[in-house]
Amino acid sequence: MASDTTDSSGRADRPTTTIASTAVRLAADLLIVTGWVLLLTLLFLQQPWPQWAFYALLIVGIGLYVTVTATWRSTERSP
Amino acid sequence: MYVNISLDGTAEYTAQYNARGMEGTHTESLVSRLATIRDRLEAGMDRREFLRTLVTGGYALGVAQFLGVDDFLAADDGEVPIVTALVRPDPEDPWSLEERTRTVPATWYASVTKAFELNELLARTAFTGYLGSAVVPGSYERGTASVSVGVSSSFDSIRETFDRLVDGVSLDVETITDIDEIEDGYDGFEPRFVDSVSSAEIPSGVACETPGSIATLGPVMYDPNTRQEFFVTAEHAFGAGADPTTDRLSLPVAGAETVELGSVEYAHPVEDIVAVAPGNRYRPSNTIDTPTPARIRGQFTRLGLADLIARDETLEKVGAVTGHTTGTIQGIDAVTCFTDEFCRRGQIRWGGEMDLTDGDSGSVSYHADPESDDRDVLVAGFNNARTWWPGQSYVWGVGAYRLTDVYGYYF
Repeated sequence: MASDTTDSSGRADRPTTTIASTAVRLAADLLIVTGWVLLLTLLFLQQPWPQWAFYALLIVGIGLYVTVTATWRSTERSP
Repeated sequence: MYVNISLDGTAEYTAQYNARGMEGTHTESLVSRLATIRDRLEAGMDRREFLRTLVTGGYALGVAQFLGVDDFLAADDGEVPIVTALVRPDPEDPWSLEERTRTVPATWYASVTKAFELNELLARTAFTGYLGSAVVPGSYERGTASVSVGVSSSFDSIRETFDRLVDGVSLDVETITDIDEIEDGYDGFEPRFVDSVSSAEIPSGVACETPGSIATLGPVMYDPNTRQEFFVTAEHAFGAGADPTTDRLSLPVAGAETVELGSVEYAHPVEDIVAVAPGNRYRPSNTIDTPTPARIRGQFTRLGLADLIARDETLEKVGAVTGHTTGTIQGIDAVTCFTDEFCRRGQIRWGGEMDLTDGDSGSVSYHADPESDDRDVLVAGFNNARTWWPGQSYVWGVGAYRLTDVYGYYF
């Protein structure tokens, strides 16, 4: 399964980051998200919970993950 | 999966998501939902983080579709037939086999088959720290199934991360800290020897002797390809590994000389069994040496074992040292990677550490056949090892269905 993302580069509000670190972050994101989906799937297999709850938790979890890691990064950026 | 996201200067976006099935509808609703979320979070989340959410969210939905979560989340309420066992309609004719079926709730079937798939996926991926996993079907009423995953204790950090992620929710992630090795010695125990060899047929459940050790003799195992009958026992009882050209299996007799059963025809170290071609005098038997003799009529399929767990049924075994014991089934289709360089597939976990000791290896686990005579039983699998660590204690061995899948053998 291939994931192809096209990101518009050189945007004005984007600080100068190396392509390498972006790639590492993307890879880390995808790895953690894979783990999250697998965890939720195993959890829902052993519980008789509805389908909407699965997708709700999936998206909310990703939203939280992005929000939390975004604050880490903004702290990293400010010296 | 193909995700294409383009972003123009005014921060308007379009998302395209091409994949099979119902992913398109999910993605459309996701996009509209995310658009709303984005408006609300305008102040808190910048465009880059929003894009990141979109990419990872789309990816997550793709992974969920790849795993096929809708197969069990959207399963209907009907019933489906499953094959639970392969049974000989004529007990005297070993080459007659017919399938026994049963109807089960579709939700349960969907969950259990998905659990088998995920278990297979985990075993194939074999992520760092993975030591094994097993499928534990739930009851028919709940229609669920668990995958119990064992991770190495050196990966406590992963476990802590999981624990923090799902705070308050129990997930079967077991940390394995202590492992009982398979041992070959039999000091301190008195194995049960066969009383006499007046009959040419040797029952299962008595002690047999390898060049270096003692194990339990299994029941007759049939090979439909060559139409052969075999004596069977555990391969690890041969110490350094059974050698089909030289190794022989013999039978100690109480108060008499040890007799020879035959020579090793096939050795299967991964499944931990040896098939021994009978010599001229003695033949393997389909009876198990219990106080009320049990006769083997066939074997359970993987779904048949799942059905036993769903109905909370137990397994029995007769070992040469511990004798007849009964225990609950703890997991099927198990993968164990903690005793050897390789992983063993298709294992059954049942009972507790007290149900097996050195010298019991090679015995079979079985369950009464509900549709035949009182004395008829169906084989679940072999018992080859026991394992204990905090929270888990069980006997394990290869399932009969696994031997049929890989080699064609059956009981």
